[in-house]
Amino acid sequence: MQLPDARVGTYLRAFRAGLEALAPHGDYVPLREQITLLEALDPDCSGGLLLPAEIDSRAGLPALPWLERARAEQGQARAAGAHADLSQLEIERAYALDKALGARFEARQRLHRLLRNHDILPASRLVAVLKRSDGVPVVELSYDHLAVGSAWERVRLEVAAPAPISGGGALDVQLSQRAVGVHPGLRHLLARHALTSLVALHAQLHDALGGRLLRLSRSRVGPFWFPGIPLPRDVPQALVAGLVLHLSSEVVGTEVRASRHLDPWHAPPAGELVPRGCRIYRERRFCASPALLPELERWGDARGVPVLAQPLTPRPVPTRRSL
Amino acid sequence: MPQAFAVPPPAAYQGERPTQAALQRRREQVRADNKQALTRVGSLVRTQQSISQELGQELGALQTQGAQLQELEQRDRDTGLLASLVRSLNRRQRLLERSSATEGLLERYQAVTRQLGRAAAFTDELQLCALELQSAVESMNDEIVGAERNRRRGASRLDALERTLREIESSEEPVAGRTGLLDKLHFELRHETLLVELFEAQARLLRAELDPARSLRDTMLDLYQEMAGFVQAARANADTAGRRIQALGLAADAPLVVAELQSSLDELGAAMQATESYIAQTQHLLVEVLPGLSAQLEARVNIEGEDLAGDLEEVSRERARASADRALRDAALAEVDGWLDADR
Repeated sequence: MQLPDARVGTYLRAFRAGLEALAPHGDYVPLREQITLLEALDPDCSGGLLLPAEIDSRAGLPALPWLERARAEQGQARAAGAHADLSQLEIERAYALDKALGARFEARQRLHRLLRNHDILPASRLVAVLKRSDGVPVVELSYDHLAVGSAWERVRLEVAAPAPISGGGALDVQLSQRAVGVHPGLRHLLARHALTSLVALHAQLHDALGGRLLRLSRSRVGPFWFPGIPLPRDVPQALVAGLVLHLSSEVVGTEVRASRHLDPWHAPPAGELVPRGCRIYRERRFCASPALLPELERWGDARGVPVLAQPLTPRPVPTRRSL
Repeated sequence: MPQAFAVPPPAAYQGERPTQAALQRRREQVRADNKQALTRVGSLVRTQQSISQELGQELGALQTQGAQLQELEQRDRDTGLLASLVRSLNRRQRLLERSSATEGLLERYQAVTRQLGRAAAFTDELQLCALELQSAVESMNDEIVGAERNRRRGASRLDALERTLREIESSEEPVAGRTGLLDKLHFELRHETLLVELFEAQARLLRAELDPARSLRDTMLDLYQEMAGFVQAARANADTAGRRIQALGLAADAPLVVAELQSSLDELGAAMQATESYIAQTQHLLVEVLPGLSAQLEARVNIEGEDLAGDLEEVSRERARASADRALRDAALAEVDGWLDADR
């Protein structure tokens, strides 16, 4: 679906307010990159350059074409460098000849300055870092991508003593350089198992990586429901009357203190075989229009799950980041 | 009582009065501007060609990648015992292939979007160049209009001077200060004639330089309009493909989505064809239109010794009359042209 141009700024600022209120932690895609992406998409920064604003109607989040336009501008901004920026005089000259053209030049200038200096969420990224190098090496992997249904997803895992690539594994730990080499197939494996259940993904990764999988999490930003988005049939339809942003996370690992399920929407898979010594923690947090909080409470009560929700309150239009 | 005559008041010219040297400088400046604009247009056309070619290649790669996915889907749909057996044996391999095809498709789509972003920014540059050329044409037109207006005012004063001269010459009564007055009127007549001729030369030289400037502006305007339309159409096609690619993540819907994707990739074929014809068209600009314009400018530069206006010493009363007549006749013709234009 396409948002009317006049509603784009409001939508993005409400989304941003929800994100900042929920303050996603390190299991989620980086908050700073999300905020910068939303700032870039906002016509307050980019004018009409990145429009039309396409929304994935399943998730209520920006759809791939809209996101890719921002990423394409970032590529251009970084390739051209600051010296390619137009001077104020050139912008004024363009304004004098044609107001709309001048506004586009100015917006492109603003957008490129933002994107040149700040990262935004990539379409897909796999990062491996050596988390512990004394004793048994521990590698932390983060795979960020636009998941099925257009949610922004991070799969994060910690593995101790992974098998080397030469030994059939997917990671090469170079202790002396504190670096980790990654087999390209690992990214494909993670992409392929976007729909695989967490426990099955744990088994797949255990096989692929060797070593001991200490912790595996899958966390999603989205969906973001707002009036105009068709709600899934298995959720209270009264929620259509306002804004609801979801942050959901599931973690399996030996370090999880107690298994808990705090997600009123999706029940745990029936007959789930938790890996030995591991526990599973699942939660879904909401930031919603204050009027919808009682409805969310009722939903949780009906499912026997306490609801983690906070109000999404209007906030002043943020002052533009100093560029 | 001797008759009293007065020298008709000076014409109310607008702007600066031209001189030979100033006209020469203006001509050189206009030619230099046109030449610089031609170089800029040539460079923009070449950049435009390279952007369009790269975009065409990326669209082609996106289409090829989509075709691979389509092939994989087709193999999945094949019935028959052998196909089923091969399918079960190669299940894992096919999953990998499919995943790679989807990832590859996403990468190609990102490359197309990057090219489209570059093309959109470049379209703005084309528009700016077209507007600047239009602004140059407008200011030349304004100058021509101003020169013609001054020429008409000068012609009216020449008429008044000539009339006064005739009246004095044919007067049977004594005229107060006759010799001095005649001397002053003759000087004014020659001076005014020269000014009228300089205004005429100013209008003539600008008209001559206006054609190449207009051609450059039209070339740039065409290039901008076509590029803007082309980028808009290619973006619409690529966006449709992008939506399908995003939907590919839903494994359960994959066959349907791949079928839909194929139709959007077919649309990309149309965008590619448009790219090719567009590139051919800009090639025409590079090999024919721009060299033609360049030759036209060169030819103007090579016109040696073109007189802009005569010298003050050579101005005669006949020449003054002829200048005034020409200016008034041109003004009348311009007025008639204006009516005809309004009637059209």
